[in-house]
Amino acid sequence: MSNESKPNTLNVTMLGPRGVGKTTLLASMYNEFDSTVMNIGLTLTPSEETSNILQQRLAELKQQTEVFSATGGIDGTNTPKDFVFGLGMIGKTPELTLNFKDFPGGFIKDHPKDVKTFLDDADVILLAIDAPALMEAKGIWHEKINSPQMITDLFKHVVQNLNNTTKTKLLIMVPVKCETYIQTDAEAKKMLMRLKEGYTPLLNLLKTDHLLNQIAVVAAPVQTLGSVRFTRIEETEPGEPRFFFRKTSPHALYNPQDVDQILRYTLGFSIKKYLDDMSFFKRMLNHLFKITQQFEHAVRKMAGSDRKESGGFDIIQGLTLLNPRN
Amino acid sequence: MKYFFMTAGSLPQRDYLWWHFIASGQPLINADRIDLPHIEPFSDLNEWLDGDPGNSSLILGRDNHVFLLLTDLPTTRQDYQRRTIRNSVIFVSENDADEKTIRHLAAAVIESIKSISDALNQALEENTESTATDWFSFDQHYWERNFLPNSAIFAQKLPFDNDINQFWRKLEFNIAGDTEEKKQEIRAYLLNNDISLPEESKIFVLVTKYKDPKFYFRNANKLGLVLTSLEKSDQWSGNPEPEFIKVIVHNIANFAVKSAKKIPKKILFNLAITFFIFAPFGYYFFSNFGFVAESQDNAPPAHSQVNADKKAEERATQESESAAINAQNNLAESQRAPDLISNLYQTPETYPQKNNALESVSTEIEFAESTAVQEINATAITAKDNLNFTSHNEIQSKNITKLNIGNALLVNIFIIDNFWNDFKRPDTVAQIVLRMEGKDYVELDYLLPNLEKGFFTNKKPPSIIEQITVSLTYGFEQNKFNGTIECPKDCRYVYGKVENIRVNQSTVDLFIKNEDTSYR
Repeated sequence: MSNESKPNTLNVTMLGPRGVGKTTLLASMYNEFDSTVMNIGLTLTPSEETSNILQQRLAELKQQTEVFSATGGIDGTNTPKDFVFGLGMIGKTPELTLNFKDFPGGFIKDHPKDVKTFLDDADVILLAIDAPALMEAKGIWHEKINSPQMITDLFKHVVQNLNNTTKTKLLIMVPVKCETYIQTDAEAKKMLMRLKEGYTPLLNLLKTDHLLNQIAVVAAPVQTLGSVRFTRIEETEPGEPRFFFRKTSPHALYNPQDVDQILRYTLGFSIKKYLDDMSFFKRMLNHLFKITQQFEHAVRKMAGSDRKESGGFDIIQGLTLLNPRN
Repeated sequence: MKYFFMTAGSLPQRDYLWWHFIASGQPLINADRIDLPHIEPFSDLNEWLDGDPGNSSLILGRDNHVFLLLTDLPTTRQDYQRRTIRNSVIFVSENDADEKTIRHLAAAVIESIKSISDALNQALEENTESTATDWFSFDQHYWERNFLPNSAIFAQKLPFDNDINQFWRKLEFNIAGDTEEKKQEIRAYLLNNDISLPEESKIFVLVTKYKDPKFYFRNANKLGLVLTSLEKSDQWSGNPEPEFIKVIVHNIANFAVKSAKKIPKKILFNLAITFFIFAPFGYYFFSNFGFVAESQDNAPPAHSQVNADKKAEERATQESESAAINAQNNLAESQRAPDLISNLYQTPETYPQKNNALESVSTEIEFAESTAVQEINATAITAKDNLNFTSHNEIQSKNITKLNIGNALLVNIFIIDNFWNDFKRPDTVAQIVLRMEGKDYVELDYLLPNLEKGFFTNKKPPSIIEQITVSLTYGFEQNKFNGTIECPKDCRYVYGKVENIRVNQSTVDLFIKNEDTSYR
């Protein structure tokens, strides 16, 4: 795990410019955590602060589906915030702490030093991508909204510091607001292709030979609402877009899709890292006395089963970093 | 006084940043972090708070000067994703008068955040031109003219115990749940100018919603009074109960309960009676010999009774006022409703004749061959009227009707049903979507006024419920369309279809029939 963090802490940082959906993604994941882990005996326990704040965000998110014309999103983040979860077997002390860091998207431009620190400390980076900006109008809004070049520049710093920080990382590229674009396999493939085109410099940077075994990259489109579709972009003035969304029908309900996949990929990566980083002595003890065997087995099962690798999902590189050893 | 503001703009590139007010008439300038007050060990005051944008927080403290931080005050502005923009503000005193003002402001905000939120919403303005280099400005004159004097008015001085005790003078760390009673105690303290704020650099008062009390216990040396909803106790407490104590207490309690269950009931009853008889004597004895008096001196003054009476009186006044308003509205409504309908009866052609088309549910309306199209063709619409069509000929074309982007159309909405009867809320927003086959469509958002009650019934002819000006942003080329009308959560969903459309000289009439019977 991270050098700078407490033992057995997995640091996950959200990344993306303002308004693309970082906090929305986090709130959606929070909603899906329990249902994702519960049936294999695991539990994700938020701290009281985390629980209260994310409940509020989740309520705002669900309100999007109570009006036909969905408003743009939940309250914008204006200060960095850590959301802490304990992962462990039900009824037992958590084995692993998941620390999710969320911060204002404007920090990328206005406080790049802070963002670089967040990225250095992160084991997993969730890059939220505004899918309508990527896909619509031949992608003319992609640069403005998703700032792919700024993201690439940040990663140049990340790869330089990699051996002094976490040594391995997982980058999950998460198109959000993508309900309109993955209704069929063909559409999902088109979006995946468009994503790779839109982030070519970043992907080229990360697939340098020595990084292939250090940085895993996954594309994981998620539908945080499920019942809302993008409808149009209007320019409030030339060059300034405003995005509009609405429900698929008056009675459509909140119905997120595939949000659990983020957690599956994250945990698959983290359990392998947890084992790899374990000292020899602890590993022997673990092997002899099977201290955390049950937990490891549960996490492997969760990470391995039902993990999607098609329909818009793709392991772009670093498969070996994602498959837990048996 | 110095002002710092954190706000965001409507454009994508204008995310939340701290800004410094320099002088009236000048735009705000980007503030450096080192210019902002902070309390060690954190470089950012926000790290003391819960970071939840949905709830406002407050910090009153002293760095080199007394300051007041208020966070996440909602505005009426929205960003490019249509999210509410929130302001934060730091007032920093530069002299004794400023310090007094800041104390009053803090007291006023603890009472009600709305006034300051609204005042800042007015005073802090954004230049929304994308090429502007001066993004924000602060109308200090407006602020001082409209708000600052008022803060002294509604921050009324509350009675305070003259027995100023150590609790308020030293303002040592104490934490409690975020209750009205505790807020009033803090207000009373802030408004009492006989008590100076401590001179040391620390936080005097902090109010936030979702921050773990353990965090504040860890940093107690830099804190005074803290209110957080995550603190369970509604009494001031400065010492955390050690975890092992809690375990011991819990185990003792369990043991006591189990043991009590084994004692015969008769003996237990006798013990209880004995306790209740002798407990008052015991209390009297101990209190008069000083064992209890000391803790009373440490307790902050209670104003709950004064406030409870005041609130009861305010509530009674509000109730009688709203009853009077309701009576007036009822009278106005009953007088108004007939006028709406009688106006329509005066000119029969202003409403459609009842026909089979209105009774049946049709999914599409075809312009090309229907009567409606003939009406359209027969009606002259000129570009010089209310409409800004670029080509007169296009409107007159038989195969409807390519409207260019940016054209405005005056639309009368007729509702052919009584589904509005249930709605009691005056600010109902309804949306009409005219969805075309393919991707082009027109979306209309408008505000329905006064959907109080008793609108229409099937027996009455439909009347205009609203006239709106619609900006058509996409053209439609098909000769068919169907429309939907829906309402947001406040007024339940109504799913209707446009049954008929009529284009008049300068307006378009949409006749919408409700199809959603689920609410009935």
